Amino acid sequence: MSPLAVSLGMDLSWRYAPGAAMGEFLAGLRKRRILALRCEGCGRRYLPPRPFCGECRRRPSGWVPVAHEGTLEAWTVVHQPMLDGRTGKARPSPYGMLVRPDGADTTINHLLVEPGPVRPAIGQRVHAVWGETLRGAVDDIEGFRAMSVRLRPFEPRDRDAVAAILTRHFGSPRIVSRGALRDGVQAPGFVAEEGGAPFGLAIYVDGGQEWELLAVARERPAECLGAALLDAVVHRAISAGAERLVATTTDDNEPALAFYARHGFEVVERRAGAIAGYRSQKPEIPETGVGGRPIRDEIVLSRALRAPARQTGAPGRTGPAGAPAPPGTAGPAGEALEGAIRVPFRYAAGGVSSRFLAALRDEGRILGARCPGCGCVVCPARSLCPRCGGATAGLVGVGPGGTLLCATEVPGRETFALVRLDGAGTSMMHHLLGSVEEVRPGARVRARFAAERAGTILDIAGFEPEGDS
Amino acid sequence: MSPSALVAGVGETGPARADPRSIPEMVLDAVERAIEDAGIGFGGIDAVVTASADLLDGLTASNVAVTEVVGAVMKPETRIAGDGLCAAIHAACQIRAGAYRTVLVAAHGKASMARFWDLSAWAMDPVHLQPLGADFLVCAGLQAAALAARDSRAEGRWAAAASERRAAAEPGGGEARTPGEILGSPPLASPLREGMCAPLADGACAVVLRAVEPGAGTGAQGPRRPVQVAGFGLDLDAHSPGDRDLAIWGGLAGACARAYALAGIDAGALDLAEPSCVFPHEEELFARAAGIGPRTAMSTGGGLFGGAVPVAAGLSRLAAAARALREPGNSRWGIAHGTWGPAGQGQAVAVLRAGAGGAAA
Repeated sequence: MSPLAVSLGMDLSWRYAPGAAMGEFLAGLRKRRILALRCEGCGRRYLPPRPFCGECRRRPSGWVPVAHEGTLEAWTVVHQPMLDGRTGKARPSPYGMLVRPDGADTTINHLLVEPGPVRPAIGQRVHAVWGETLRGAVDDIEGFRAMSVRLRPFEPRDRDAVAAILTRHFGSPRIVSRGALRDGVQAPGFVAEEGGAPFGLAIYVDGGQEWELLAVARERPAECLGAALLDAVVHRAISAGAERLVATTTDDNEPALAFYARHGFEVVERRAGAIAGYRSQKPEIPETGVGGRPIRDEIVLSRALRAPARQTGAPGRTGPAGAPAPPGTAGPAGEALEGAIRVPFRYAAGGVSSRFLAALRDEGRILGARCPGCGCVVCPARSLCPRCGGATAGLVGVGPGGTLLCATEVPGRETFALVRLDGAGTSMMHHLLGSVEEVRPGARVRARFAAERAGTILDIAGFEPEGDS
Repeated sequence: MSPSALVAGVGETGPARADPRSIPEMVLDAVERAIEDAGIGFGGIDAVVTASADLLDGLTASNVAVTEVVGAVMKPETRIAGDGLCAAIHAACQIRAGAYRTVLVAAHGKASMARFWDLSAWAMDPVHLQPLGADFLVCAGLQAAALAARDSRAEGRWAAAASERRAAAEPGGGEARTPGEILGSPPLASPLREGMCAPLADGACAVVLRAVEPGAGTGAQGPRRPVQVAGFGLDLDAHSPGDRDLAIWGGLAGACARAYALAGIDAGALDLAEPSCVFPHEEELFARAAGIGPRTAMSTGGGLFGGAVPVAAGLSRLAAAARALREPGNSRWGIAHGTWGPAGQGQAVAVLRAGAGGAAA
């Protein structure tokens, strides 16, 4: 007889309270922000945040946004399909990586998006790839993608290239915003280069508490480049202590309005008809813009740069509320994250239990195992005696009749019973096929076997009062 | 002689039906309270023993989630996957062995994360019991049924006991109900009713144990009386309820015998008892196995009826007993109890002694 195994599918779910720190981090993701938590003691910026600094043993309390790009610190290729505990299915992404976003002192563990033919390298620059819809979950970031593009601050040698890019996009290097005319080539900023040739830029005005983004432009499509350029300005502004970043565009430019909205800007002013006046300062401004639409109004947008400081670790709301969130997501900070594990297991029954299960299946017999040490007949038959710890030796048939010791009814479920089978020295737990009101302790009961048997304890359908069958 | 373990500080979050904090945040709260109560800082901790259950936390290696908040970064940490009282006993053993002088013990549980009874099915034997759908609730129901089969007054007595515990726990968040209301509450696992079950809760508990050398003074802190862990015992009964006599807690009797022998007392010396009992029939089993008589005050604050936190329950009982004993008064000996597994399979007790002198473990 071959040993038997019992198949059981573990299907469990939990609700994880993210707590104040993780809740704030997840809420930030939903706004396309990556927030680190800074320890005021040692200055370390933890990402993902943690409620306690293990280095200096105090509660971090300062939230700081970090960049959406960073450095690849470590990576691995997983060739074994990874089981997604939430779905029970294999996950496709085979690359795992540790990324240290610019501005963070710890790494975040994430996935590499579409690695392509070239393997990633430690030290390589990577940028976050955001999902279409943001739910407040770690997979709002789909993963990080290796950058062949490099971002760096303007240098004097870039002036010609910058002037050329600005001229192609804005008619000349001169930029008008909120009534002021500026020379874009003289403004500070960042360029994106590939192979040493700049092909994108972001320029700004350092206005103390309020910085202004003068232009973001690129010569050819490069995924997330606009976001990366914006990000570079945002982090320079935050480092300098700025509180908000202002940007302007025109009413025809729907792609720009969508870009800014996606990155946390809100419209704060609409200067109706302003562009006509600007044309006196900068005649290069055309009459029509994107999609042939007339250019009339200037739109002013603003984004706050400082996250509100919050004390972590203090109780927030008194409990999860509202409709349950989708798996792995958080609602507003403090709401629970749903998690589940669906994993199939196969438990080897072992030698003696395999014979017990096989006898149920093949012969409709219940076996006990005799303990030579104390004489107890152990039922269900097992290899060790629970009374004296000795090894059992020899199988004997017990039951199928026996005595009910006790039974319990659990609403909505089977009735459970302990039955001392005739000839056995221990009791067997199983289902009672009857009511606890009618089948009292001490009553005679008898095993009823299942019509179809598979070599499990459920080959016994349950115990029914003797004489019922 | 070995040093003995003084209960230098205790801290708890207090049980909550659904604590919105994360597990690390809860544990940090309890740990900070305990080390403040002990009058030390994180730097004063030599080693940590934590208690947690992966199955309940929905997380493998569930102690890793709290490594930082218990201050165990670059320190020795031992993890117990069982009741928190076992962690305290382990810490007391470390101190007795002379390994460490100050050990932090922390335990947590978060019943609101999942359906606790459903999870408990996965702690049952996978060949003979799990396929039946048996869980800890079924085992508690069978145990109560086995007791009620021999005792027609049991259910009424349990309703009265649960009512009394609920009333005592009410200031701490318990919910009062009359015996009649309890007998009329929905059945849970017959003969147990919903009103007989202590409310499952979230919480964290931390205790600081400190070595006291024999003859080196009492370790008293201000007006508090020093409280020492004078004895302890652990025992595991057979797993399957069918292999045991469900009408007794045999494992507990063995654990108590060891604890009393270490402390040099018998049960009659105990002034107070803090058992970890979710159901009133368990409290009767506890009293019988531990030899508790009428002179011993039991669960005076309502026991777990203020909120039964899985894993942390036994440590919270130790904290409750230590808090009661350290206040000036006549109480000298107390016993704290923890249990885990189906129908009280695993049992742990610690005997605490207030004041100086006498035998000590």
